[in-house]
Amino acid sequence: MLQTAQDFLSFIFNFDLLQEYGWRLVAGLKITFEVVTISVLIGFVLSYFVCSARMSRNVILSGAAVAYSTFFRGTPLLCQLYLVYYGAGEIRPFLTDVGLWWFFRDAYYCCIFTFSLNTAAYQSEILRGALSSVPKGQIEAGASLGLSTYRIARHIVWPQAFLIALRPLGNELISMIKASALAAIVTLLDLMGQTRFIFARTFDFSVYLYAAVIYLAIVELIRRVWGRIDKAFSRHVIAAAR
Amino acid sequence: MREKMLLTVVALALAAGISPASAKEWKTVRFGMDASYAPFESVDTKGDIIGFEVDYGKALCEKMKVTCTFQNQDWDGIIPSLLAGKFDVIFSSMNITAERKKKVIFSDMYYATPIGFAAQASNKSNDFSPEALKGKSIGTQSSTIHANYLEKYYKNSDVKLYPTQDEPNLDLASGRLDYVLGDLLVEEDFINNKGNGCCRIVGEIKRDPEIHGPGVGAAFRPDDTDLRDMFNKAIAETDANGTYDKIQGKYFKKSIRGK
Repeated sequence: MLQTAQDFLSFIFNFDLLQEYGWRLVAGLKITFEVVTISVLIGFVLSYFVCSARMSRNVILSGAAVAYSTFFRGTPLLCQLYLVYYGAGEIRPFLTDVGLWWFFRDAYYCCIFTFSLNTAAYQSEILRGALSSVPKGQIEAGASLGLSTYRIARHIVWPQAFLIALRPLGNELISMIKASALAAIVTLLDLMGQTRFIFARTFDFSVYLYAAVIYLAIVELIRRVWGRIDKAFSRHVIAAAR
Repeated sequence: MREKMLLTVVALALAAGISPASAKEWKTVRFGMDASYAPFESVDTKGDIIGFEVDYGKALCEKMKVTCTFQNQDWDGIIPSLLAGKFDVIFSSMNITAERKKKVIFSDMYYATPIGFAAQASNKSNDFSPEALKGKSIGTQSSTIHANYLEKYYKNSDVKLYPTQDEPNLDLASGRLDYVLGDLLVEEDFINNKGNGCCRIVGEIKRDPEIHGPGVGAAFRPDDTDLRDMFNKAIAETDANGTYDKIQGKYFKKSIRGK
């Protein structure tokens, strides 16, 4: 019994493994951090345009936006990643002609490209939901006071919509962090990629445990920070409710 | 009722745990292979696993008088799956290495093939020394002797690791990779079939005994020494009666038996 307990402990705290391969986990974490941050930021900018297109009265624009977000929200991210990564390989001559092959050649850019498009679809839906939850009456009231469209958007609609969108945007960031582990499948050495690498060398399952703990810690950290941000921005709402 | 069921489950688990492995009479042997490695093992259009190792495995089973089943298993998880009892033997071009011997036991070597680099057909250089390949991207399958070899000797190249050998081959064809390291028979098979002449063999590497070991063997759980002995006996028999030569003749022009 003692034997098994000892085995179990040395499985959980495998210092030899951490000493030899710990730096790989740190290097992987850096790549994960980069890919997620860049993708989510690009996705955020894109989502504004997708959302505007979606809410526009132009049928073609809004139709295209609906098709876009339906596709990216309705298909597995892994499938999208394969489409971009191996699809680009298939049409290499064309990509070389238009001077884009250097971009699609690199797994790193392929991941950022796919993840950005994917998260933009989700973020645009979050924005749309938030914008449409601001009562129409407020916009009309603003107009009746003679405020310009810009001022109505800047001072009435966006501050409220932003507050509503904040929570779901945080959730989207968290789900992107977890989804980014797929990058390992197309050779990127992110946190998951390095984990797989170490496992391949050692056949030691505890490395997956470490990866899980690291992901969990990041997600929990973001959840808490996001909670603080949310609280700070919604002070007036809380105060009003008292 | 609940407690009773629980008790039964525990009792069954105990019974399964304490029965000594050696007492097992082998009637069926389940083979695990990563079928992305033509011509050794691949999946045909009907979804069946085919290839040299399937034919050879069947011949061994005939000698051992057991029924065989073949199942497909992802390479990265192939040793853990064996240890977890999902199948009884890894028969999947697994090279006998010291690292793997810590987890599994191996049969005698049953084939050894040349290992080398492939590059795009347009690449005319035959120099594949670490200096020549500095900064170049080289792809291979992860958890393989090839991955270990690249890690040891090609530190200054951009080494990319893939879940299967099919994927680096595809990336070599598309030009994403400059080189692929692999079993030359597999690379030749890819170039002549799926690759459609995209690429060419650059050359064969010298085996590093520390990394490559003596060649390919069947891997078993450490307890199943009886099964390993059965395999060793059958391997020797198929060598002696010419069955091995007959099967390899179906797939290869040159002998892969090795020494």
